[in-house]
Amino acid sequence: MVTRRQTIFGALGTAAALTAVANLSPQALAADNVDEMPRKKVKLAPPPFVHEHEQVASGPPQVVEFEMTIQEKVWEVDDEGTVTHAMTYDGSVPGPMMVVHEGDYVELTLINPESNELLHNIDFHASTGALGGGALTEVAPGEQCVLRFKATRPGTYVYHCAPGGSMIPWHVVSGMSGTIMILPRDGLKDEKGNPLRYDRVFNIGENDFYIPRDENGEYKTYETVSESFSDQIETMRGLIPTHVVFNGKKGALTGENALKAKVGETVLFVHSQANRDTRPHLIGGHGDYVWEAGSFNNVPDRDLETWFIRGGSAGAALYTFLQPGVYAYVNHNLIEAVELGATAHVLVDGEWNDDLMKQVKAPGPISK
Amino acid sequence: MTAEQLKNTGSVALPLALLAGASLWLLSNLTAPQETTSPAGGGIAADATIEAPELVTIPPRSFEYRDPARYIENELPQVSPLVHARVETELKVAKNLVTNKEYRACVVDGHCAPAITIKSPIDNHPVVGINYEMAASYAEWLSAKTGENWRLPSALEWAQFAGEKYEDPDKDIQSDPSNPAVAWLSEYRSKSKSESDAPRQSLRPAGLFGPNNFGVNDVAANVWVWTSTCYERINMDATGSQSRATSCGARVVEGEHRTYLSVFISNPQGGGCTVGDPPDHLGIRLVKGAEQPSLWSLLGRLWPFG
Repeated sequence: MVTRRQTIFGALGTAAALTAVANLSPQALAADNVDEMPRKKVKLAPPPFVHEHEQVASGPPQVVEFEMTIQEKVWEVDDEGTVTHAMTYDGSVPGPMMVVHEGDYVELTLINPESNELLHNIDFHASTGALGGGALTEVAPGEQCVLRFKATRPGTYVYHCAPGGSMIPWHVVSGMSGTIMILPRDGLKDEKGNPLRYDRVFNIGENDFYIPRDENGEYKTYETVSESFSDQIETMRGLIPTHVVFNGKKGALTGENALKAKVGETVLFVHSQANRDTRPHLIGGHGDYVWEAGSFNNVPDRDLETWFIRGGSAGAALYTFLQPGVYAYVNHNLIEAVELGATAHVLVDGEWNDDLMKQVKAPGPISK
Repeated sequence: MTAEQLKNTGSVALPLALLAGASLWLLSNLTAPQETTSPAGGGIAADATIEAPELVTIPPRSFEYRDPARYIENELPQVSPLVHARVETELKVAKNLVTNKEYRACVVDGHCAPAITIKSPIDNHPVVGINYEMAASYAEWLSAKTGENWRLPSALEWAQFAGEKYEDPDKDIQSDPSNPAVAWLSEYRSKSKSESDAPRQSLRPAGLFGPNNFGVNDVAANVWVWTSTCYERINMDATGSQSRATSCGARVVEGEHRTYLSVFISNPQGGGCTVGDPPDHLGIRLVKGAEQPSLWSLLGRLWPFG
């Protein structure tokens, strides 16, 4: 196996080059190295799905190239026709999930098309420096930029827009957030270091929306995104969301859009909330292994009923389905789940296990 | 350091020295503004009862001026150039900021949106809680009412009438071509320092902060004003080729320090960047007469790398 150190030196080649390397600052070393590293272009997949990726890295670190186009668009948040002006990374809420391995370099091209109204940027919680890259990625409509950062910490991390002042919370609660997952090069592990693998990943982004109402209590609509700003800020300052939803819309992950799995399959639920605390719970199931705060350098918690996702973070829960059925995956503030929208469904096919649960006697008259 | 790096550093360092103010470029040939009258007022009737604001005439003058565009060279943000502006024409500027009473007349007339403020406005206080659209609407309305050309100043004109109150926004900003954080830190320290000397948040009647050397009241006190100057970014690469992007969705706001704000902001909670200090209040100061040719066209001609 080629180590990272060998890769660096290998790229430079000669003994003379090795001497020169000794005098370089760490940044310079990395920069020289990156130019020689293998590159991979990844096509992102919209949530709740995730682009194809290896769970265990088969090669040395590489530069992984992503591209996201920011889209400001009219967005329906429930099944009653309530609309807002969403700001999105690549057209979805949340933005698409990026997956790389520790030691890889993430190279993002961020495009803000001329047709947009606002300036945007991106703050990666996984990155180090420049306000998470925010200070280096401010793009006005008609501009694009490229940011590269080294994925040094394995885990699930939020990214979000942060263009200054009131723009920061406004852009975030308008949908501008997502998750990057940085896997350990040798994959996920349990508390004893045994490998943990998944059959699929679900990218679940939870959003709190604050839609202003008029004097009759009806939701207001606005011709342009900037016109909604003053009213929205006022509603946001009340701190009570009008909608708390998964993947941008009440019902985005139920009915025909329900998530699907089979008995025996292992699913990694990655749950992000860029603004507000939440508490996912799988009704009828568990979190077998949960990285509640997202960092894969920590030992996962075992067999959790409900896990806490701090506002401004993403966490991961691994679960192997043992029974078929319809599962509800909810924010276990049940008012938010049922009344405000934070519910997803998982349809699981397979054989029932009587040992785990059996209906001994169906409901009937009280026989005393 | 490798030879390759030395070469890179060299190519950045020389222009950087120029950008940071080692060289002052002379801006001349600013032509006389042409007095235009009665711009289209969108059906607003002229009204002799609306009094034009009291004017101060600023004589032609030369001053150092920091280009408000943002410069990026070889993918690194740079300190914008300090230019020596020689303005050869007079500028007519309103002595006072627009007051609540004055602004209300436009609101009552149905042309201006009400200012966005929590407190009940006092007649002789400057109007605040104003976004760019409101400020521009007010200028349009006043022009139609008086038959004169009233408009927002450009950032250059603001510096022209601000006189001694104009402080170079990037005076103490350092930069290092290999370390962008040097500029961020020095900018933060410089702005925090100026903020601690800033006037109080509470508003006072127009004029109470006093005149500057030209007799213009309340310049760079606790009300920041909108300018007509759009957000602009100029990129240069190693070959010296240059591209520029202008976005009029954000404009320069001038006051005790300079910032950019989105045009729909009326009560900023943060400055131009996440960690900057926000302006206290946003209001309106008008100038009279047609605008002079843009600084950019002149800079473009003088730009040594273009």
